[in-house]
Amino acid sequence: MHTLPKLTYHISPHSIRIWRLTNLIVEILVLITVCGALFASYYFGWYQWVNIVLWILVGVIPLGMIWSVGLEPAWKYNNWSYGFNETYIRFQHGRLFMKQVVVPMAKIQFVETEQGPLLRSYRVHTVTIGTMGTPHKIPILSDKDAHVLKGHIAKYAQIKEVDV
Amino acid sequence: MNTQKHLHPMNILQSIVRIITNNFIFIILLFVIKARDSSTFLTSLRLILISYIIVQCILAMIKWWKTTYEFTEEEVHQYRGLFKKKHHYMRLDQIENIQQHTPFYLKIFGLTSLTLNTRSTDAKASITFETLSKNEATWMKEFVDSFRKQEIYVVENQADELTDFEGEKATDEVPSNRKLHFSPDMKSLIKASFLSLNLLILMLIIATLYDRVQDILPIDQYVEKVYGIVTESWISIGLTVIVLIIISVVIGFVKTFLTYGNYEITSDDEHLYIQSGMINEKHISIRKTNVQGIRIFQSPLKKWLGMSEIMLISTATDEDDLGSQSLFPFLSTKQVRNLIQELFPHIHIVEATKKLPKNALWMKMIRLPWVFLFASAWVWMFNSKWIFLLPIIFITTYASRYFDYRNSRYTFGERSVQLYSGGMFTSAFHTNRKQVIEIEMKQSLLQRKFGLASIQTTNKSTPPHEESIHDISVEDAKEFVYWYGRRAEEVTLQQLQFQKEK
Repeated sequence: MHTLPKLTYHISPHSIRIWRLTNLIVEILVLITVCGALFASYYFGWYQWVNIVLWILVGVIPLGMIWSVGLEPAWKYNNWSYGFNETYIRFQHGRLFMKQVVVPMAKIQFVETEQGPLLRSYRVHTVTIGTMGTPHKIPILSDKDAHVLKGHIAKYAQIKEVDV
Repeated sequence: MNTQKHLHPMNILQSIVRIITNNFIFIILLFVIKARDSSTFLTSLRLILISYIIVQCILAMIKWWKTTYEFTEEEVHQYRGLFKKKHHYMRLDQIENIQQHTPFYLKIFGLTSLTLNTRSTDAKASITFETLSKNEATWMKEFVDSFRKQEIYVVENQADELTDFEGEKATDEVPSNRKLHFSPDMKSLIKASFLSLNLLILMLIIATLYDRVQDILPIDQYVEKVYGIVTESWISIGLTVIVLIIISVVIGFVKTFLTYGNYEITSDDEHLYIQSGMINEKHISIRKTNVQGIRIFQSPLKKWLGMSEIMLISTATDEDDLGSQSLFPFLSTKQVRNLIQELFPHIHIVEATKKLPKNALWMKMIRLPWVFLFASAWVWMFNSKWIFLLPIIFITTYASRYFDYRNSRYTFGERSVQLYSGGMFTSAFHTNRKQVIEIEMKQSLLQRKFGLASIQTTNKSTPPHEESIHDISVEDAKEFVYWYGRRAEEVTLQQLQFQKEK
């Protein structure tokens, strides 16, 4: 019998809107930079290939926006799940590149919650789970879920494995 | 005892020597080769170099002055830094091992250096005292030792002066409770020196030197002359090549004998000891239970000669080897299995039996050959004369993919796992399920279409050691996750009591 937790928990549904907003802002900033560079390129007479690359970028970025603002956030949300019990925590995310991670509770070293201004306005947190390996991030969790997870880990991560 | 002490003042000299050797090439260039040139450019370069060295030397003195250490009753503290004060301390009872290293230049002055290591996997978990008098070092070892409840193992790194034969004999003696497991014979040493591929290294050295010096010196004409003589006839080409080969083989022999001449792997109940080096002796000790996994590595040449290299993935912290320590890199493949079972009975070895499904070959072939694409783009845009490289890259890429498909094997045993993979360079990784601290299963969209997935294990080390195998069948990948889920059955858990943090 295995004792793996089921992947029953999901991240906050607010994440879709938050990702849309942040991706939109980032893409617009990039677009502005590219346009600025394009202007500079014509103004100072840079190489022809620089112009070509920049024009391609100007065309590609709006297309990218359809993906990163329109489609990706919902996809990402639908494919993010996690679960935990006394012995393990388990996450799974991604569809194009699916990734599943299993970490024993006893190997968790710290839990950290973070909240920027945008996340605060939606009352959600980013939770980082630190292990001996690379830390794992659960991107957007509601206040309640983050609290539950933190409490759970605080309870079970004190238990350490001993060599017999 | 509660006063802050400085390192031995010889530390300053040591730093100065290091500064000079670091800038050696510039000193030679500016003051020897170009000594006669008195153009303003070179004069100012010389001035810059001199002032740089002087500043460095002054900094070395300040560094010595500002670096102090202190042993209190329970802790050792180290203070350093001029502008940014750094304070580093460790509790004496956390010290896992002491390493004493005595390179010959310290030995001449009756000095030595000492490193205190804790068990933690953090890279900052050690304190090094670069120059200490022998007395101070002995006092330190005894002080730390007396504090520890458990027996501490002191690693002695003794450098033998070449004339001091008695001393050499004395350090060669193996304490009686240690068992000798391996010591290379002449045959494997000879094989090893051929394997060191020194011809390539020699060529690289010549090429880089030529490149460096060419910018500064007009050696082009000399080189052309020499080149002219060399290429005059096939005989001289042949001779040059033979001479180059002989030189590199000789370098290889000397290097191999100096590094592995008196190589020895011994062990007692708790530790494994590796001794190496003829001139600068190096002794390494690893607690056997700290070994988290074993990786057996083979290059194509080694495979052909029936040799392999064992890498130990361990939590032992030594700044140099970062948790992965190689046992003798030229073991005969037959010896490997026995050696592992002798040395690490706690690692359960299972035979890797499961092979990749047929689909995996398609998957491997479909993946974009990034290196090839970038190389093609590079050739196309900048250097069309390198076009002959492209077919070579193409063939090696696909051949190694095919061999990777053929070679890859894995087994998740009752308590342990083996992952074996690689095209040209293969590696077999053995570890216990208990020692895997994290697992991952990955699947790209294409892999899903083919019913495949990749899996990865992580072991405790510095940095954490990751091993993966790609394109196994998805059923097996799921089985792997469940297999890890059964880990809970074999570990013993204990409630930690809160320790008072200082």
